[in-house]
Amino acid sequence: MLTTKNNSQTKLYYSFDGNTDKGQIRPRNEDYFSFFIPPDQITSETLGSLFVISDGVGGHLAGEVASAEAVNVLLQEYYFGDYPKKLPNRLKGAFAKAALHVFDLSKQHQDFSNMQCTLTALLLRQDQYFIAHAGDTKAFLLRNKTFVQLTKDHSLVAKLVRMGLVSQAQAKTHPYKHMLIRALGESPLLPIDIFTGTIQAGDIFCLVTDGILEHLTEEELQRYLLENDTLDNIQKKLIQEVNQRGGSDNMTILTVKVMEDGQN
Amino acid sequence: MIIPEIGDTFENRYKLLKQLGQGGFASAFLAEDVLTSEKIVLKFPDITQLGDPAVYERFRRELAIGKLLNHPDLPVALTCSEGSPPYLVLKFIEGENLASVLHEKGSFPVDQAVNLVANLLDAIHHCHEQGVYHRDIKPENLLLAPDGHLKILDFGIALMEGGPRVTWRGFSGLMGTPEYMAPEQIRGERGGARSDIYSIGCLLYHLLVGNPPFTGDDPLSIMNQHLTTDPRPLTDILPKIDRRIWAVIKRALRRRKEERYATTLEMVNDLRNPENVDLEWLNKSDPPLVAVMTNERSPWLFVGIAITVGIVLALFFVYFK
Repeated sequence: MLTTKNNSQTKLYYSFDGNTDKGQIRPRNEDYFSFFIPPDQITSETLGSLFVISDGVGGHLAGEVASAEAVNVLLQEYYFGDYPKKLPNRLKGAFAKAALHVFDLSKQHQDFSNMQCTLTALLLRQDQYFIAHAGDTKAFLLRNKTFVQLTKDHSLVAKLVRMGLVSQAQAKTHPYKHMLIRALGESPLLPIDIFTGTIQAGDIFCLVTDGILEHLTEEELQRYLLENDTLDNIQKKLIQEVNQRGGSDNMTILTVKVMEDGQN
Repeated sequence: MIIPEIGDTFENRYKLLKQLGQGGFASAFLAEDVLTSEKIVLKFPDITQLGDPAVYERFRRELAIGKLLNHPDLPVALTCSEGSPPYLVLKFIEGENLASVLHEKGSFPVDQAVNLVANLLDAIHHCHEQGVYHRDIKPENLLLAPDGHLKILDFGIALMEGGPRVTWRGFSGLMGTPEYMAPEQIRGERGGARSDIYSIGCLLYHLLVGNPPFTGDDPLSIMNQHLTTDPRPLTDILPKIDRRIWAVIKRALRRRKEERYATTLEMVNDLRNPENVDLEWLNKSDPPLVAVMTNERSPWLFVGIAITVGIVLALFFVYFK
């Protein structure tokens, strides 16, 4: 767990936890996550803290290269790149750079051809959150026992559900449920989704790769997050449970809990 | 892990001569068996699939199915290697890919198209008798052989269990566009005999007209058309065509699989004996297959509407009492 103070104005703290596991079937873990919490108050107040998760696609070593490169390039570009000060535009710029980087790698090295990845970033600054997203990694917000998915899945089946052609029940067992219609590495230019909102004390942001929800329902995930335990322990129990149910894919979960002074 | 390239020799026996094709899951090479001097085909998993233990299982199963089938128009799997990279050895069949033929030629004369599809139905009937369903019949998977028959290239996609994680590019490579995909497959069913019949209905339409019944640049739009729109009537495009052929295609293209031909044998009998074709199929409507609530509409919306209508009606009665 990593706890950090947000800023003097609202006196919010973030408690961050993250766990990842390769599951029972896959030979390697192609998921990746990282974060940056600025140590100084000025950067914290202007650029905020960024938490990023990615799920790699591609055989050999390509999947794990894609996810790690995307996450690290995004973090580096967001904080140190020459982009507009306005946060959504800055996020978009850094995202575009990460997408171009993965695409370039896939074109330059035969071993990395076809490598792609999802990328979902949660930015917390002062009392605002921003989500930048491409792929089917999900970001949820648990607020007052209400669990809401903040991201829209860029997968073929999710799109068919949105079009009304496939039901939610059919989507769960659809053989093409893992097919992405948007991912980093596919093309040099990548449209991304940006969602924003206001942070409240007690909020828990939860980012998961699809391996978690391969064997758990969203209701079960919510129940786990509401358990009276540390989020790190909850994540470990949850990963153990997913592995017991088959662990058919790599799985990663990140949580960021927002707290006020004196709150645990 | 070696990435196969032209000129490579595997097991001191199979020398790669040229690449025949590449899909989302595999690439195929023409090779020479230096022991027998015969041409064969080597199929390698796509680089995105390397390291996935399911690849070996898929190749083993494709080999098992190949050995189960015995028909001159079906592929013959000879052996498979589980080395690095794994590959499948298939008998080489002379011929030109049907997709290329259609691209150059446009369409086929009616008699030839009907004859090609009737013979293809015979081959698929043999598969179905063995409990094997292709699930991905399309021009890219067919060869037009010198003997005038369509030869099925492989059963690779047919054997795909579950959903390996692939992206849109993989998806596009896997299927081209879903122009031949049966509605139930779009909705997530794995597909069976009647899905093959639907695909063959699309294929016959394509051979006659020069394009499949549902087309477009966007795969999602094509999927939507399969489930919601009717193809342009064949009789509008080819006014002189025998309406009975259109009736056969319309029955094969019914959106609800239970309304299609039950077997390939029934369809081939209608194609070869058009006097038996039931022309009622020309006039039967085929309602769209969209009856699901999307996740963007809350049931509370409908509850709210019902309550509002109730209040308005109550006020109406109170006012006019």
